Amino acid sequence: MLETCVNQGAGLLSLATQTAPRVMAMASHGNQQGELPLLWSLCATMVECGHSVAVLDATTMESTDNPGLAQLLEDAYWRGDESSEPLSWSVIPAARGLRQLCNKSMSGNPALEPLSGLFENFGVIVIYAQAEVLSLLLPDTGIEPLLTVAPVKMSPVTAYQALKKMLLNAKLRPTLATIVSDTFSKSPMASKSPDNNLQECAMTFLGYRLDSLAVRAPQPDGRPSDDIHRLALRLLEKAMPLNRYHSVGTH
Amino acid sequence: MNIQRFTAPTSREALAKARLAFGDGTLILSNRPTATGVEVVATAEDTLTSLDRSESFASRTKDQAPLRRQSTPVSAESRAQVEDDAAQLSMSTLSFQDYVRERMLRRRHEALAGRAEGAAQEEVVAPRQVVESPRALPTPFETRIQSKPAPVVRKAAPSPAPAQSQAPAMSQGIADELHAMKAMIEDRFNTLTWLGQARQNPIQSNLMLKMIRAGYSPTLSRTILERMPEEMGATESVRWVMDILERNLKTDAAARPIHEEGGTFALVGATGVGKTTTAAKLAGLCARTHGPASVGLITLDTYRVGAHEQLRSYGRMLGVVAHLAHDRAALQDLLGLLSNKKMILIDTTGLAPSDPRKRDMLDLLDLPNVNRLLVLNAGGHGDTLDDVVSSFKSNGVQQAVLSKIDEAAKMGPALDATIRHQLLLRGVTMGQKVPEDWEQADAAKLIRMSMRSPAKSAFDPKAADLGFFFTQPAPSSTYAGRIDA
Repeated sequence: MLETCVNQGAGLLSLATQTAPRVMAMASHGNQQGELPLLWSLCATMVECGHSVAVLDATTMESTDNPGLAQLLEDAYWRGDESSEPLSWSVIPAARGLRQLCNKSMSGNPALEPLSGLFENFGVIVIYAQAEVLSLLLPDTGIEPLLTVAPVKMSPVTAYQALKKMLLNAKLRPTLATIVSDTFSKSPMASKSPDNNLQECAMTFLGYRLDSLAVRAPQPDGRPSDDIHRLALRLLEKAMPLNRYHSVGTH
Repeated sequence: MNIQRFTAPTSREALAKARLAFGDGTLILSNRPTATGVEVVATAEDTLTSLDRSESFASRTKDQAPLRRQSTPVSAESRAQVEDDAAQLSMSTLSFQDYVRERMLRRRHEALAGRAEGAAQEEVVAPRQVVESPRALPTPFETRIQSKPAPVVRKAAPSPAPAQSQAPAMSQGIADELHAMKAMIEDRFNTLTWLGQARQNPIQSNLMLKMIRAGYSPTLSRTILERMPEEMGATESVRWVMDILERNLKTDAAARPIHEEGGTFALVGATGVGKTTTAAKLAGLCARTHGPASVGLITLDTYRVGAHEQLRSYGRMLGVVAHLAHDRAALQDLLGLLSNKKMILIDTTGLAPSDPRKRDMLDLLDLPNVNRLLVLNAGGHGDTLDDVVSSFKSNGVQQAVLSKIDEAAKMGPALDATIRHQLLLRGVTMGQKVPEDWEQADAAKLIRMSMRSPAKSAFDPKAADLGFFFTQPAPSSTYAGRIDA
């Protein structure tokens, strides 16, 4: 009896889709002070939720000393090393590798298809890349890349540029997260927040209504806040399972 | 007019003295405690008779005006006497006598206030009644009424108006009591008649026993059996009863299963009934039919340790994200986010019917398009289930799921509550396996299961015990109109 029924959820395991990794994206627009702590917190939250996370970092170039996605795409034997038991959290340099996938996409092939084989043991694949790369990688996937606005002077401007590229080039509709520090939220100028300016610009110049989620800045102790938890679940909800890629990508 | 005072250490001795003076026709006019004992004022019956005659003569000869002048001091005197008497009531050993006197005086006073004519005549007649009444009344009542008159007199004496207005109120109260008594007597007689019929009709009696043993309430059993045609044989009777139960158990058999139909469902219910497991089963079934992307999972359970983790584990197996909502705004936000899903399942904190947080929880779920799905433990006690259904009742059709029917020794109480509260049964769960142990509700199958003869139980009544089930008046009329028999 114990052999035939491991646990009460054994029936759910027969549904094949549960092991497919989900792909989500985060746009990098040069504001790494705000983006990196948030990405860290999101990954920590997802790991806490039981998902193993692979971050494909397009802001870091692969090298022989620091191999990454490009090497994985070239050398299949790497897969054997990692397929046994995945790390809960891996950050993989992916600047060149993602460029290769972009080229593949431009030639009409599904760009993300190779990732399903490379990261089949991961629950979540996060592509952290510039708007140009995301525009080439993710058209028609339904993924809503995360776009962050930090309380830094140039952040709304660069965020707007990234938004414009993604929206016009690939019709990607980002999820906007505004990082709010405690000091900023208590200031009298709180009503004129950067995300308000960005929303106004998006509506005025792009005719696009941009909804924003306020996220409190990650705590110094690294403990994820409720906002980040909610954001992580929201991104997971909008993430694309890689097994679905074939049907979506070929249409 | 011969009126005398008698004092003695006890009232009995004072009365004896009065009887010595006036004989058997002694009339006690008043009594009061004194420092040395009791003082009794008494006279002879003949004195009052002569007084009556002289007063009636006077009323014929004198003008009306002097009469009116006389009536005022008499009235004041009598009022003072009432107050004195009332003050003495608690001390008096002749309390019933005092009570009767007080009542008579009050009546006379009311008559005087209402119409001045004939006042003097009444004043004279009244003492006769006052004194004679106690003799006619049996002694045992004295102690019962002893303490009651005093407050009545104190309230009524100062002004006659309230006393008059109390009369209709009292009569209304008496009428209500009479109605209640009549209803109770009718109910008891009906019960006795029914029990007599049941004894005469062994089929009915056995069916009643069978239903009660199956866990159905005496109320529902009686309501159904009262409508059973008399000429039926044993087999037909059983079939008829099961038919009636089946017809009154509402299920979604005619519609598509809940997981195929989809919608937003909040699973509510008491603690430990299996809400999270039921949510996982429904999510699994919906994912199997429409794919994992068609299911949204939300939990509101921030109280139970590990609640979110449990749902998240199921979600991870399915490839579905289990969201957590702390408040109404977050829930609305998530419902917006998941609006493209075929089925959204909201798991909630298990709450006892008496839990004060229940209202907040139900308010939180009071959103458009959010249907409540009440999860009931099929093995629960009838009263407990009644309590849960009443406390989680919502507007419109109340949908329910019976959980753990494999653990229920008797299905009767759960089906009884479902029938009486007119719940729409959307499914049953009969084990722990997710999602296999789920079935669409089948009324015929459930009724058959409930009526299957269980093993002998210490809780089962004997045929002779049936009478006890009806010793209390059953609110059969409440359910009688709802039964489709």
